[in-house]
Amino acid sequence: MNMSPLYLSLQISILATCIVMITGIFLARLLSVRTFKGKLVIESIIMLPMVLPPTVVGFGLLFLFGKNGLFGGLLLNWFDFQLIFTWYAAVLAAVVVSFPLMYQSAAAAFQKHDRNLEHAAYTMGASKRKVFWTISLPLAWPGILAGIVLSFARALGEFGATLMIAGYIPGKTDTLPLAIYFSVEAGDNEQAFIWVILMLSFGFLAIYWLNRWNGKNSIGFNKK
Amino acid sequence: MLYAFLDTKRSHFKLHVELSISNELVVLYGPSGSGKTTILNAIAGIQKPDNGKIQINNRIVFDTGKVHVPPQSRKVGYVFQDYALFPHMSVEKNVYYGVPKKQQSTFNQHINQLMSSLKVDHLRQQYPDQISGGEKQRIALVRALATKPDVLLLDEPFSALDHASRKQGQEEILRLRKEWGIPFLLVTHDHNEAIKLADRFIYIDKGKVV
Repeated sequence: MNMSPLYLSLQISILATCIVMITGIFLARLLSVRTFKGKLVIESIIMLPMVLPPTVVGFGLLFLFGKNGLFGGLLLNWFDFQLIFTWYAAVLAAVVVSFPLMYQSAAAAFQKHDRNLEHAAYTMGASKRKVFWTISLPLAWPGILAGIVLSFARALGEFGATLMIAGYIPGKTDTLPLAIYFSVEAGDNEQAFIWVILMLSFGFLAIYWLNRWNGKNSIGFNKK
Repeated sequence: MLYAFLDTKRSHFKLHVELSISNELVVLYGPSGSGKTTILNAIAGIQKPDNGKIQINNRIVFDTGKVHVPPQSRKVGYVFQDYALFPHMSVEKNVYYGVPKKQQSTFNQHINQLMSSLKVDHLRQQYPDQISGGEKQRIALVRALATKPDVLLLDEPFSALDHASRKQGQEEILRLRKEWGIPFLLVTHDHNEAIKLADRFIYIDKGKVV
């Protein structure tokens, strides 16, 4: 049995989740402590992929990263690198669709705790960096972790946008969801069934674990 | 010595006060929403007033448009109304939070003394959600004094306590005030408390000294 869709999917999802985690935490923190004109517009743009059909996201990415696109052209001219129809394109699609989940979870987590905890730390002489690493991040961690799990699950399940910008190239861009679709289309239901069971089990485990962990965490910090 | 002149817009009124406090316990007394906490926050550097001047001993820590010393460098101890103890840290970590790592040994004696005088020494390894309201209040006091501040601010420090703990807390504040000899500025909306604690008390209503 060809396992490459599983490995490829894991590789893409792990990389996408790492990117989304770092940028999501950074942006959520930045926007949660600052108010400025146009903040609502930025937040709306960030959340947009959540309500758009994946084909619209895919079309947008093709438009920007295609050979003649704004960024695609730059990549080609400067680095002689074409993103479209590579596994990097699948990473890009996964990042764009899973980013809103990470951002939303992290932003809610940063806003949830009492601001006076940070204020208290400042009055004791702590630098902004120290307050972030010792107060804000640990207290927001349960929400951030939920965001990481949800983003990973969303990245793993990405189909529409991936198909549009990475295509279906066996051994190169055939992620699990794509492999399921093309197996069914080719009449190979048995192969599709195995991947479906795998995706189902993973999805269930992720959500189950998340619920359990959330329940446990609400009891208190000292009972880890 | 603490001097504060503040002139700032709030949602319902304009806050306009001038305070000058020597090494005494001054109680800011007045109804809820009259701007008392805003005054403490401005002195601590958490909120920036529209206009004003704040001086702690000989240091000007705020002067409109010219000086804004961040809260980290003001040397102000602050006991928040809900105590703001860090829920994910033990009592000991809470108390030592503001002490620079390299200087911990020089602060040990001072903090040990504070902890035993406020009878919280046995709680070092406990977490904030494992201790009582009165204990939380005393630990918040230890934490605020651990870094040897030049001014101590207390925002309704007894409002969440039962009668016995409240009385004990008030006695301790009076004792600490004598020991420390720095300006204590305490906010309350309880008249009896104001009379019991204050060397001098200032009545604030709708942002103005009445």
